[in-house]
Parts: sequence; C-alpha cells; structure tokens
Amino acid sequence: MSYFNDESMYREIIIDHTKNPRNIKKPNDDYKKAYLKNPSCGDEITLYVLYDEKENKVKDITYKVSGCSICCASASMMSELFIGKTKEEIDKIIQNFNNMVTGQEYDEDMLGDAISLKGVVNVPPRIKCATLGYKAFQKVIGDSHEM
Amino acid sequence: MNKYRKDFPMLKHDYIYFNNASTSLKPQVVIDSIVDYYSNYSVNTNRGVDSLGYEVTKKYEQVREKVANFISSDKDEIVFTRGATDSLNLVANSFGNLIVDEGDEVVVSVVEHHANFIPWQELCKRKGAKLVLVPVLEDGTVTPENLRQVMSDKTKIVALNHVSNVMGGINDLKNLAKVVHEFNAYFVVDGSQGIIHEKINVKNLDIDFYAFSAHKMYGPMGVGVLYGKKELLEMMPPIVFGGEMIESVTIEKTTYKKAPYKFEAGTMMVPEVLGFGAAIDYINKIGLKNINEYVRKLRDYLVDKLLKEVKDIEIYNLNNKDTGFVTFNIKNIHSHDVASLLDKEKIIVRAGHHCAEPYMNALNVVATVRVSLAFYNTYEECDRLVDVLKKAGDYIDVLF
Repeated sequence: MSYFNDESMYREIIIDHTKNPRNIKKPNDDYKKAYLKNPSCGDEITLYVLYDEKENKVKDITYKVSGCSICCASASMMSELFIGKTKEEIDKIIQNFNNMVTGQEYDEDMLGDAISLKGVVNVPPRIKCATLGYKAFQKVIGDSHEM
Repeated sequence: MNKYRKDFPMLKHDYIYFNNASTSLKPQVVIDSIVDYYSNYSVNTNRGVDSLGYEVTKKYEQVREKVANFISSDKDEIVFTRGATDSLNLVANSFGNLIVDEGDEVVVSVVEHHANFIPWQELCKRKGAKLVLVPVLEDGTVTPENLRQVMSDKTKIVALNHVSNVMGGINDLKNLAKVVHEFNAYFVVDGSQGIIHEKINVKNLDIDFYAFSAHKMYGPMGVGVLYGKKELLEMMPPIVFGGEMIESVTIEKTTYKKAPYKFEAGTMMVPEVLGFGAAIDYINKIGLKNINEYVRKLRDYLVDKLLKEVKDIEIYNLNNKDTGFVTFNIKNIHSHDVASLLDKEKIIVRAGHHCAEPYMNALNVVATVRVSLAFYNTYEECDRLVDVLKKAGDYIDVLF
C-alpha cells in the first residue's frame, strides 16, 4: 500500500476516528470486559468483547475510552480490525502493531486504518497511548503475552 | 533577570523549560558544590574522630542552619529527609500514629498532591479514623471559614498545601493555623510549591509542620526538609532505625538522640545537602522577592497573550497571579496532545492529572496542561509558546 500523500491521508484517518469513534454502543452482559489505565497520564479504557466460542471469532467489540487523540483513535481502529477475526489472527495483528510502533519489521497490509499511527515510532512516550486498547484486549481474552 | 540564565547549564540546550513546578533547573554553583564534595572531602558525617569527617559534618550542619534561617525556625527543628513526600510520610507515620485514634478525624483538601493525601488516607485506614475533606474555592484555595465548618473536637490533624501544584493558589496559612489551633488540632503544611513563592516565617505563621524539597528550589534531588516545632519533634518516635541516630544500644534496649538527629538514620545524602546549601545561598543572593516580582510580571504577560491570541484556550486559574502557574486546556483537545506537540517544538510543560486525581475529578476535567514559570524564563520564550499554540491545528503533528 502506498499513497500519493501519506501524511494528509493519515492525518485525516486519525482525526476521523477521534471525532467519530467506531463501534460505540451499550454492551449487554454477554460481553467480557477489562479496564486498563495508564497511571502516568490518566488515559483509561474499558473494553468489551463479545467472543463467539463456537466459531472461535470476535463477534463484536465496544469500549469506553478517555484520553488523548492517539489513545482514542487507536482503540477505535482496533475495534474495526478485530471484529470478525479469530484469536490467532488477532495475535498476529497485535504483534504486527507492536512491531510498527516500536520500530521493528511489520506488514502494513494487516493493519487497516491503524497504519496511520506509524508515526508513533518517533514519539516513544506515546507508545503507551497507542497500545492501551490492545493491552486491554489481551486482558479480556486472558492472553499473557507482554506487549 | 536574563543575566542569571548563564548560571544554568541546562539552559544552554535548545529547550524552553516551563515545568518548574515539577522540578527546577540547577545553577552551576549547586552542581559545583556536589562535585566539590566528591572531589575534596568525600567522607561520612558524624562518625569517628577524623578531621575530614569533622569538616564535612560542620558543612552539613551549616546547611541546617541556612534552612532554619530561610524559614525563620530554630536549627534543631529542621530534619533532613529524602524530599517533601518523605517528610509528609514521616509526620503521618510517626506523629499521626501517635495522636490519631479510632473515631478521630484528619482534614485534607481535594486539591492536595497525592503525597499530602495518601499518607493521611492510609493513617485513617490503619486507625479507624475518618478522612474529612474541606471544601475548596474555584481557585483551589481553602478559606479559614470553610475550614472552620469541617472542624470539630474530633479533628486531630489538618494537612493542607501552602500553594496548590495544580492551580497555584496561595493558602492563608496564618489564619488557617488559627482555626486549626482553636480546635486543639495540629497543622501540617505541604510547602513543596510554596517555599519558592513566598518568604515564610514558620514562627509567625504558627505552623506545626512544614514539608518541602530542595529540588524545587534550584537544589539537588534527593533531599528535603521536615520542619517541626521542637516539642512536637521531641514527642515523635523515630520510624527508621540504624546508625548515627542512637544514643546507646544494648541487647535489651536502645535510646535515641534528640530531634532532629533521631530521624536521620544511616548515611545521609551529604552531597545533596551541601548542594541544597548552595541553592539557598543562590536564592538569597538574587532575593526571593525579586524572583517572584519578575515571575508575576512574566505570568501576566503570558496569560494576556494566550487569551488574546490562542483560539479556544480555557485557563482555569486566571486569578492566581502570584505563583507563575498557568493551568489550561484547548477546547476539545486532550492535554497530552497539546504537551506532546509542544515537546516536539522543544517546549517542556506538564500535562495530565498533576498527581492530584481527586481534584481533577472534582474539576470535572480529565487532565490539564500546566505551564509553571521560573525567573530564568523569558518573554521571548512565552512568545514562542503562544506561536506554537496558535499554529497547532489538529495537534497531531507529532506523528508526522
């Protein structure tokens, strides 16, 4: 994937997710949830995941998030990415996203809109903002892999 | 004031430092005094009979005297600690433990820094006492009238800030102390921010305890002070035990030195204490009054310019003019996005909850941006801040 003007496009994607966060709804009791907070800055998220055990797929995701634009946009992008995927597929995406923001090799094609956050690699103090939603997902699913 | 900029090696770098309430920069004289210690008399205090040890002990005790003069206390009312946090924990865990019982009350305000909140919360939990919150005004200060409303014969301790680290409002310590003492309670003051903004006289103000850190007054990190009235320090049991704080030790029992020495167990942070002494000399040379007159003018200038030129700015502490704090948000932009962009432009501010989460919740904001000025900041630096904020747009430039 390559764009004529990556910067303005990425910028638009991020602003769009910040202003119009995807998959916001009221979860029912079938959703499993986890709460996570970055104690240093106060960003926080409660992530709700509806997991279909029979089909081994994430059926739905919603969340309540409060924080900076990177944190909020990232959670919204993540929700779009994960819905309909299996745990194994999601594991790979998380690994890939983590590689992107920490400056390791990654596959752009797996990341959807989250590719717009690639600049986080140049702002190390903000990595924790970008990954908060992903960590919350791992907490819901009970995956102990450290991000 | 610009002539003093050359005294600060950090200012040679290409940064604008607007986070002075978090920690101030250090002048060369402070750094030199630490190097001097390690180079020329790098031994322990108080031990043995060697002449170097004697010299260094003398210098260490001279700093105690400088601190005492700075706040108009007696020398033996000054305990060296690791910092204001350590000082407040010492009062809570020693003095608090001694006088607070089940059913008693401890009064704090919602604007307290976590360091002047959690030790009291924990004390109350331990003792089955009640933590009572005194209402604050919009500018973050506590009035004597509001304090009186929450006082009772159950109140044992009132712990408040001198200057709020979020808003920069100054509390009227003298009249607050009067109310506290009318109810026979004790007044603990967190002076972390106040110590550098106002010359205080602990005797006139009649404060029972006053805690502060050297590193917010151009001194080194790792050293702070607990001032306590002599008779109160004498009452207090030590809570850290070890070398040098004892009178005599037998297998059966130990007796301790008098205050303040019984609170200074083990090897102390001697070079930092000496650096602290250099910092106090430095402040005295320039004059606290001169420092604060300049900071006040600079702050007026900055606030005026921000209001005129930065669209959508919301300043929360417009009326707190005396302490160099500007606490604000840009509408609909999270404070970390603002701070991160400023950081990209090499302007360092604080964003977040300022270690005062209960207050942030009460203000109904998640976080704020805080600019805190010092006397080495300049009008040009303020212009630069305003320029960056004016051109900020969507505040996500850091990513590109």
